[in-house]
Amino acid sequence: MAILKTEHLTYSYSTGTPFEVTAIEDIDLEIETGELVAVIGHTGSGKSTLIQHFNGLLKPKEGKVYVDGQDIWESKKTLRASRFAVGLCFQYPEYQLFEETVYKDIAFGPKNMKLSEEEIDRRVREAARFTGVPDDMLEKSPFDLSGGEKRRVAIAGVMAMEPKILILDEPTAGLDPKGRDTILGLIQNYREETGRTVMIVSHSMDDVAKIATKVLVINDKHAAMYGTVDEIYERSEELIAMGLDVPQVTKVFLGLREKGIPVRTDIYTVEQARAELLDLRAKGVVAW
Amino acid sequence: MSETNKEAVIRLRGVSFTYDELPEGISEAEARAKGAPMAVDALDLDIYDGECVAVLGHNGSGKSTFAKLCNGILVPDYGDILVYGINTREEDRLLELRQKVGMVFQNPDNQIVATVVEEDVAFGPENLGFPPEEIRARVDSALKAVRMYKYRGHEPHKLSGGQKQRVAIAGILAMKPECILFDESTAMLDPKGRRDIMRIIRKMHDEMKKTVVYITHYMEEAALADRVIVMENGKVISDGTPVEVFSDIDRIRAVGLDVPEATELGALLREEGMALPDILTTEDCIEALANTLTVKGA
Amino acid sequence: MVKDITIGQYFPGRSVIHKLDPRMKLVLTLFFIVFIFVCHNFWSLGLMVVTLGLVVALSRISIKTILRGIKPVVIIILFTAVLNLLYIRTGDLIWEWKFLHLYTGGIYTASFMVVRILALIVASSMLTYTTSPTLITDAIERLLSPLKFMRGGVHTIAMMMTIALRFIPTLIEEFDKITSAQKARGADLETGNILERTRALIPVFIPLFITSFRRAYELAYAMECRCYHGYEGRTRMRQMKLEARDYVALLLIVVVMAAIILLNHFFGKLV
Repeated sequence: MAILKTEHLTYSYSTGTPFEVTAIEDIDLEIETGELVAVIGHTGSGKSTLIQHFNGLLKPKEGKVYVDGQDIWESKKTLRASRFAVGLCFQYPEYQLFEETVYKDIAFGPKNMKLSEEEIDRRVREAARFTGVPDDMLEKSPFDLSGGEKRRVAIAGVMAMEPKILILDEPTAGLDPKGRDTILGLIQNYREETGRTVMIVSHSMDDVAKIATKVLVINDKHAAMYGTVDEIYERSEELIAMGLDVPQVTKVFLGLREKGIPVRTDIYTVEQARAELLDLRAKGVVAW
Repeated sequence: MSETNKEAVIRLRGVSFTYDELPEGISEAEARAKGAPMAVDALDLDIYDGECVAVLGHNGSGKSTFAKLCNGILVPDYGDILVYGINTREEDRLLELRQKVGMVFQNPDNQIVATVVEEDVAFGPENLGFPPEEIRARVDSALKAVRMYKYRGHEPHKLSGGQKQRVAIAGILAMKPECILFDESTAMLDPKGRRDIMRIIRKMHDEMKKTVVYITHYMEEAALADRVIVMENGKVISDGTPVEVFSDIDRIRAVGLDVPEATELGALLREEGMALPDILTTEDCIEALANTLTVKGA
Repeated sequence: MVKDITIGQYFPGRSVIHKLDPRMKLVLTLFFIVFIFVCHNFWSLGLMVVTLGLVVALSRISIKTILRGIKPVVIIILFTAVLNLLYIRTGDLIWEWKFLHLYTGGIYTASFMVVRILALIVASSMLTYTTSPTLITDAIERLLSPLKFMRGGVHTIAMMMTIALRFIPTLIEEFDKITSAQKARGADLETGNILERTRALIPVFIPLFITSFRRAYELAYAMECRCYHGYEGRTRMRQMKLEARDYVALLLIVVVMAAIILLNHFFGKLV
């Protein structure tokens, strides 16, 4: 069964005023358990609005949201349950840290879930392990950490709620390549070990596509594409037309195709690119 | 880079800086012996008139500290920085220095002062005491240069990140500096905002003839410069044209940075016996491959 | 939620009232407010109300907006009116029931009170509705600048005001964002008693303060880099110049004030 499902999801801001703006329109989705979904769209496409529906932060104007088969707006209880079933980690989450120690900050979510002390402790330590937060850091003030460390602590705070679906909005924003690879690596590791569903929101196909199993493209308020990474890259020209960033090698191969060289255009890593050209040479299609 | 007709406008000599509190009068050797972490470490560097320089490095490499030192926000603990002949230690000449060297920061929200776009752009020239007509002219031409003129009456908080950053750049341009420093000014923007800012940076160098130095950790952005300086642990570990710097892929990787995918692909294919020229950009790569590959039966 | 607060709201427009020099508007509003309390009979007060009505009409601010501005103080106005009605025992007794008495003096005082308070609110909101906060700040700075000994102080306060105005929307946005983020971690901000709710806000306010300090720090650097060094030697791009319409407005208000003094004199003091 799908862990997350939406039916005709529609939302608009400033409803009932002359400034009403539709942010998302008629979105039908079905996400299977255990997927790592990259949610791609440019600024203003509606992707941030969409994810805030999954844990009930925003109430749909029309349509339904089901988490694990449960309509989250059925009652107050189901709504509160959705907060814990879907862990949402916002952009630049390090600016939400507030506790005296890293430990207490990671424990904030589990505490709100009214878990036992032992269970909270277990979850904090496990989340710390997933995010590479060492034991001695747990007793430090979060405000004494470096930017990248703060980011990992903030992510741990959401992981510690052990949500069925973990959603991260631009988790690598502003990080350098090393920081970006660390974050993406720990997310991938978290998913593999726990088997839980993860969604990562991003501007570009570049980074997250390398670890995603599925890609959801949001464009102009609608769910424009949903499929495996390879399926989406077969339509890379459409992605570019939507103003989305694709990896540089993808652009290179699209350019080669335009110049009449019969290469595949669903290439998205340097390794694939090399393999494709070697393959074409072996087949005797091209030479150099 | 050290062409004789060019004059060094920013000159660093033996510059060291630490964020640690140092005891009064402690010598550099003693400070090092005490293990003070140097954010910028005995740096010798010259930026020449009319250059377009990218300073590349990961977080904590000292690249942002370098920018702040160049504009007198930070003063070196050891060594000297001469900016247009002004030593950044001369506090009474800081106004003069900052008029010559403008700085655009990372967070677009935290550098806009006024509640209306054009008034924010006017802030610098107003501080410099120009007559109203002169300020008006500067503001209009600065806003046109970053293509934000039609937003002149808008409230800054309603603009997108990229637009805010353009307003911030206009605010610096209106002071008519000779040189502009960008301290990771694209880091918080979306891809479109980043492309817009990079275009403006190039334009300021190519058309407005400014000396431009930008700090970044995106290699695609660094590839657009004429000169790339790579920093690690407060030192320069690589300095040259983008092609020279990025050709040493292993070295770049070792300090936690990426090389452009096109450059990497070029290197991989050369190992397979392809004779390719230097590659930096997407266009370079398409061009080079199209010229090298022959399609059989075509 | 916080976005609904509309203190000192400004409604952009192109009416003649909007275009008046903010310095003139500020001074005239002050005079006008003083004269509301100078009026002491229905004739002079009536002239005041008519003048105000004219200003409202010229500003093209809708009556609905003005009523919305009055709404929060209606209870207070009614309360004072009722107190005045029942406790003032001058003039003729009109009506009486058990311990309640109604005198003509009470009616006069109460109605005067209501009209004065309303006029006061409408007059001051006409200033804020038609003048952007930045312009008001600017006008205050310029009006007080001839006082040399306090110029530095006035400039500093005006600059602080401008920055505050610039950052209020940013902080509101930030507040909403942090609130959402903590809600996503299960923070319960909506239930419980006052004490619990206040405590629940700690996870929102601590990060908000910390980011604000960081912003302040960065802004200070950015201002220094743009050669900010206080008011000395600083010029302004926007010059405030009095135009014909400002003199006409001044003349009108002076005429109205003279008329009020005359009306006060000829029709005697009522309250």
